[in-house]
Amino acid sequence: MQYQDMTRTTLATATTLMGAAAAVAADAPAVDKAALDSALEALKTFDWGSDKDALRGIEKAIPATHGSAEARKDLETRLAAVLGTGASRAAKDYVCRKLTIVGTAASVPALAALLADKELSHTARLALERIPGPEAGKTLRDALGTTTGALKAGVIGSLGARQDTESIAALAALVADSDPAIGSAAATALGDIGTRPSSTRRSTRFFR
Amino acid sequence: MRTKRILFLGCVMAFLGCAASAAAETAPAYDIKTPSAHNPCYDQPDLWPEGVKETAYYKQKWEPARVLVWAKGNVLGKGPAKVLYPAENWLENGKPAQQDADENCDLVFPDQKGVTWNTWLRINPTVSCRHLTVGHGVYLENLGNLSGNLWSKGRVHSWGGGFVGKQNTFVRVGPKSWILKMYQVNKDASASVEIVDELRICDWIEVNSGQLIVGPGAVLEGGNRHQNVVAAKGALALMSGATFKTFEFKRQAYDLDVFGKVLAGTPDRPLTADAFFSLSGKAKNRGTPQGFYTPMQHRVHRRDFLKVAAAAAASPYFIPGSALGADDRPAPSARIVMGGIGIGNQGKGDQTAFLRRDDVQYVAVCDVHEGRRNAARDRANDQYKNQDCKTYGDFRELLARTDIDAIHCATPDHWHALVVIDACRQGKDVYCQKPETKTLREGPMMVAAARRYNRVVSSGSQRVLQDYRKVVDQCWSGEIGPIKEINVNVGPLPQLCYLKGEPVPAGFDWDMWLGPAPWAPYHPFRCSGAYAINGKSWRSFADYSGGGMTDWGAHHFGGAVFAVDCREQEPEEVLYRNEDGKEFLTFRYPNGILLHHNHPGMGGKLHVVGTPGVKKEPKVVPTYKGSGGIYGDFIECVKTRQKPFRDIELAAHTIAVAHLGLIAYELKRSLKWDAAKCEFPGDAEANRLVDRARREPWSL
Repeated sequence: MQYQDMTRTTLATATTLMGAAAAVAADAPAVDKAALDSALEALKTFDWGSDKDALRGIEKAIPATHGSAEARKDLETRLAAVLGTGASRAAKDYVCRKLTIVGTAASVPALAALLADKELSHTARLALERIPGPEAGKTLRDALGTTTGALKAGVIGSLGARQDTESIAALAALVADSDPAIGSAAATALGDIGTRPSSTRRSTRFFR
Repeated sequence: MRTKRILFLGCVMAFLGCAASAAAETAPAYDIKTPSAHNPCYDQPDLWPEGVKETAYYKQKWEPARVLVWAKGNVLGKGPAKVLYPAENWLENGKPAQQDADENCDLVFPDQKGVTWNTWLRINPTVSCRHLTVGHGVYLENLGNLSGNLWSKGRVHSWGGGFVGKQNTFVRVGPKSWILKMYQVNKDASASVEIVDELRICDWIEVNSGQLIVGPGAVLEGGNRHQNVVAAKGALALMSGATFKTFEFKRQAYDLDVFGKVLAGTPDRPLTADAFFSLSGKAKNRGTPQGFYTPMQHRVHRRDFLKVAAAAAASPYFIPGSALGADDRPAPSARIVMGGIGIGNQGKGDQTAFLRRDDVQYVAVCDVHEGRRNAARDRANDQYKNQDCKTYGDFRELLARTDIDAIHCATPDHWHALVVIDACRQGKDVYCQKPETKTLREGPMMVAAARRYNRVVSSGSQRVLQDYRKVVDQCWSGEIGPIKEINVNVGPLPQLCYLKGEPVPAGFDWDMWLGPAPWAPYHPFRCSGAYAINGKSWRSFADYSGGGMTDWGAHHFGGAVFAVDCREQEPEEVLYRNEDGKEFLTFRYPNGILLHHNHPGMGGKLHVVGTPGVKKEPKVVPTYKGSGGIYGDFIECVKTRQKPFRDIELAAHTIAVAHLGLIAYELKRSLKWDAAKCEFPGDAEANRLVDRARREPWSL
């Protein structure tokens, strides 16, 4: 263990911390458009075994676009567009991971198209489960009618994770599904939704 | 958790069903051959547990009786049983009944096809009869006196009635239905009611007379709102693999007052496996027990029933397991029966440590790699000179074994939460390797599971106490005064993995290895358990690990927060800084202590800044219980039901630091954190990274 002079270090730390918040915005790097263009171009041929450093322009663009709605929207649009192309599974996997952070309602239709795809359903849910707003929830609810088996169980799990109260009736009906995996997932999802404090209070009253 | 879910389902039904006046007016056709309370179909083995022919309800002989099928819709409003009895309400042999029903009839409320929660058939008046069958989509709000069997796929409340008569009967409610208030009154002293499946929510359990039997593998769980009683004329008997538990609800705890007996098995049905008996941790004795009683959260092992036997004269019956070892070891019934899940590099070390203990009997191993699990099996069998250790490729099969007390888990990190939570649900204590979690959300869920199911869950970070002891002693001794800051140097960060696929080796279940993680093709580096974090091990990759930040961070951050005694807190703020291209963080704790990560100028694994010239009152440093380091600490806690040194709650707080740091580094900005809510207040972007979607079919 090392031991430092408290006065000098703590003062320095305090000074640094006071300026830290302000420094964040100032330190936010600008979007390197050339690097971003290059990375998006690389996505077209990206596959397992490709050099992931070629995508670094996208990695850097995410924090760089924080706080800039216009730049973030542009990034999101360009990423989501990849999902509708013949890009590889690896490329779409990468895109969905990034849409987990930058995705909005605008990306939902592109993601929705993947939910019934056995290979890409979970990939799409990586983003859909975490994108705020009613559109993602509605898309997942709609997918209850278009998916079956394990994919449907996955969709149910995402609705639970989102604590999507609008899906309660649909999930309740699935509790008794003939597929035990679906029924179990629905019961679990209802439990996830039910762990909200307000819901807990309601259930307590009911059983009083 | 499950109870919350069930409560919530009830809530949903209450809200949606309050206007449930539109239930089917025409009763669906009822197939008289359907397995039911009056027609149990004991000849269909898949419907009944093994050994059903030994049960009292199987042997019970019944006189023929009228079988009446409900032909009407809802009957709302409370009332006596006779309200329901008029003949026009019933079908008999498929035709309108000619005579009224009575309490000696067998009644059937058939399945309601196509109903949703708000259109369930609701019967509010009291229902009293002999055998009662309640179909799916049926809600009986007032169960009266029942002298026969109850088989329900719907929902049943009992407010004042109960199970009566001289007959031996069964209760089947199944995992998707429940009954509130399990009264057993006026039952003949020699007669029994046996729970066959799971009765997971039971508000109030009263055994006033006769035997209430929790059948083999069955579950009776409840007493969440009121006191539970086994009266002087009553007995509660647990069969092999059965579970009885009460629990804490809304900070109130309800215990089991035993004036009669609690039995482990019965004279004609001795135990062949452990039964589980658990009371809420806050329960206190409110009666004068004459049978068995425990004031603590407690899992009753076979040895405990033996111990209880002399004092309680409770007639316990016990068949020892096959675990027989050297004569100088503790008796088989005094050993902790263990299994291991994930027996790679670290798992092998853990297994070896537990195998060396005389007070452990190691009986099962699980790994997705056939070669590894066979090697692990052989290590156990070589140790005991027998062939008792079993192998599994699916951890759920191992957890389903009722003879196993505890497991150790050394899977890759992305599996930890699923395995630990499921193990808790299955009544197993857990020693889980660090890092305990893959996401922030998993920590509170694992803690909740441990508390909910009264399990001992220990993290496997032995370095927290052992590696940084000098730092800890110096801080806790008070000699460097109040601690202001501490720095941890650890890394690297994890990376995404897009390695090209290779053929999956024979004997390796690749899909199971991936589990809840995103699909990816097999590559040996992707799943290698090597300790190096250099792109050639799963510890390097973000899908399975937090890189060095969590892998070594579990140790270093754990040592740091132990040294500065912040183990029970999480930071409320993470400050991201980038100076001349050098990124580093400062975590600010609610008590003002600053925890730095990779702060420039602060070398070593741990770097502490105290207050020169100021002494603090020394404190006693917590340490392991029992003997044998962190493994001994865990085993001792399994025996004594204490919290281990690296209790999952402390470990979850520690690893949350690493996850917060990972998110700050990814977003490259400062964050505020509300640990109680498990969220970044007002930060929608950061909140997206609190958890991640799990690959189907896995969910927590």
